[in-house]
Amino acid sequence: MESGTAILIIVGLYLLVSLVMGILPSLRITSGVDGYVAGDRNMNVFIMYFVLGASIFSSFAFLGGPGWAYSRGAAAFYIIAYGLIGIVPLYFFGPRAWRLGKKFGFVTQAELLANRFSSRSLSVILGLLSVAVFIPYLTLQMIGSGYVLNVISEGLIPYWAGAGITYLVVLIYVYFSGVMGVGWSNAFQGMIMMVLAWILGIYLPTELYGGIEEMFTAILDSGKEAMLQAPGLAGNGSEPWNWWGYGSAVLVSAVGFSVWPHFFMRSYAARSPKSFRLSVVLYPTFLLFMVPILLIGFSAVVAFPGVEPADSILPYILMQLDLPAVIIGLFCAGALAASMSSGDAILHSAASIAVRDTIRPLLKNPIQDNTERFMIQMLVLVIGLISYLFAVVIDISIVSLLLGAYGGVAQIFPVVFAMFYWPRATKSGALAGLFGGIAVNTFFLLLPELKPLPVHEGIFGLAVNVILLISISLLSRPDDPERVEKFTESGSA
Amino acid sequence: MNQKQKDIPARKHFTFTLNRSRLVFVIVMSFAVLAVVWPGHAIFSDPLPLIFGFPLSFAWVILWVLISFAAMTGLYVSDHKHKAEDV
Repeated sequence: MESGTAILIIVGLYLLVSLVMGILPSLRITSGVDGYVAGDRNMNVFIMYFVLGASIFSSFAFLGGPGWAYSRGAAAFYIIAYGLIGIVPLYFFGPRAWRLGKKFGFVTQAELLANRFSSRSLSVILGLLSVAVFIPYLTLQMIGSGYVLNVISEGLIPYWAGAGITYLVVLIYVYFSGVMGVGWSNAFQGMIMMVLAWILGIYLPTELYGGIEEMFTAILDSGKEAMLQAPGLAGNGSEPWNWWGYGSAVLVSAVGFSVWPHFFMRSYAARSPKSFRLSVVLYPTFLLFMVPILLIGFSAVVAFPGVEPADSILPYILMQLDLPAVIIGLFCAGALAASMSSGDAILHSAASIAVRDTIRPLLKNPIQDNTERFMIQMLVLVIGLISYLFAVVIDISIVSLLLGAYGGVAQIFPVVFAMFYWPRATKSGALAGLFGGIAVNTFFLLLPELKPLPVHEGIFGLAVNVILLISISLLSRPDDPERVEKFTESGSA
Repeated sequence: MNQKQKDIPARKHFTFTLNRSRLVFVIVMSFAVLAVVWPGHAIFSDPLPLIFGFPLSFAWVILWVLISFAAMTGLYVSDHKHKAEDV
């Protein structure tokens, strides 16, 4: 009981600090949409660095990363590989989006696309799609937080309460401070995660084997060298994975990475294109924090074989070792930080995108700036509540099904690329490419046995997408050159 | 990936200024893609030798994170030396 109290105190303190860090910026932002969604385009490098970094450090990375390393070995390197490739386009897209946003008042990705291709339906449909993938994503983060608190408190905190309390905190600071609340709390949460990842990633191999080299030697000696042979093991955890599967998973994730709507729209919040670029340049240092995370998973391979499900390996190790309550409490805080720092960004973006890209274009009369901000805040509450209901009520298999649709996000990339760099791209080409790509991706997702090659379904989607985008664009009449030039000439100030 | 497929045939109608440092960067990153996906990673895919305690397959990926970090830093520095006004 005594250790239970210590854990609860640490977690409580962590949540309190997150709340304060998240609410404080509300005193400084302006009251309009620009302040709420784009942080008055005034985010500095330090905050932006953590906002970008938090995108990879979700519940998936903190729990799933060790889980992958534990069950599939070298396959887990794919998380590092796609981050390394995927961040690069943002270096070029970001400043362009920023300049156009500043000039024309854009705050979302779909606004850019809708404007370039002069298509309101493009904006409405992209908005709906984003919300549809964001809700299961958010649900997953909530499940992660409820699960961690429940396991570590040995049932003291019920699952629904763990997720509820954590996300009440998120809801409050997102409601009041918008993107700046997300930014400041992410900086705090990001530092907690970094420190904890390194502590655990070095402590566990040392404690269990006497060092990192000894740990890998033990894995090799135990006859599991296939695990450390890239590309690791397939999904069933016994046969080696193939390069088709690994390579295409890396490529599709990398292509989709920079165009995730919530990720992309952060470029508007930067103080200047230069400061955004600097945050992108520093991003690989965040990737290095995946190294200790994977070491945690590898540390359990020989010491604790046969743990199911693999994603629970980190809490499992912690419960097996007789650790001081402070360490366990800090781990809880780290896992919550991972969940919250992705969850808040998703929640904020989902509400902003729903109002900005879907509801607003459908309204006949323009709405006032303050009304719009209020609508976004209301939707923060509604979307938060819906996801919470999903997390506590609905069967988790539905969530995992929806997660499979993520290959769809990669389909936005060719259109975004063409928007900035290919003047000849037209509205019909963009619509055909985007929807052709999504359709093909979904088709092979549902009927994987029909795939001609054993690669990720997103690859087929992308191939069809690019072919349609190019051919239909060339067949249709060029878009208004004046409008196109705004976008293609956005490369310099 | 689409980036590369598309910009070669469309170079003429293409609104991208490829100065020398950007060209070097694109080449380095293309190598990075080949290195961490295929065939680079397939060549350096063995668990042994252990490098600083890490299996070769792991160390290889970490090495490329460091290389791409260096490449991006170089690009950033050169971009802003050329265009001081672009803040």
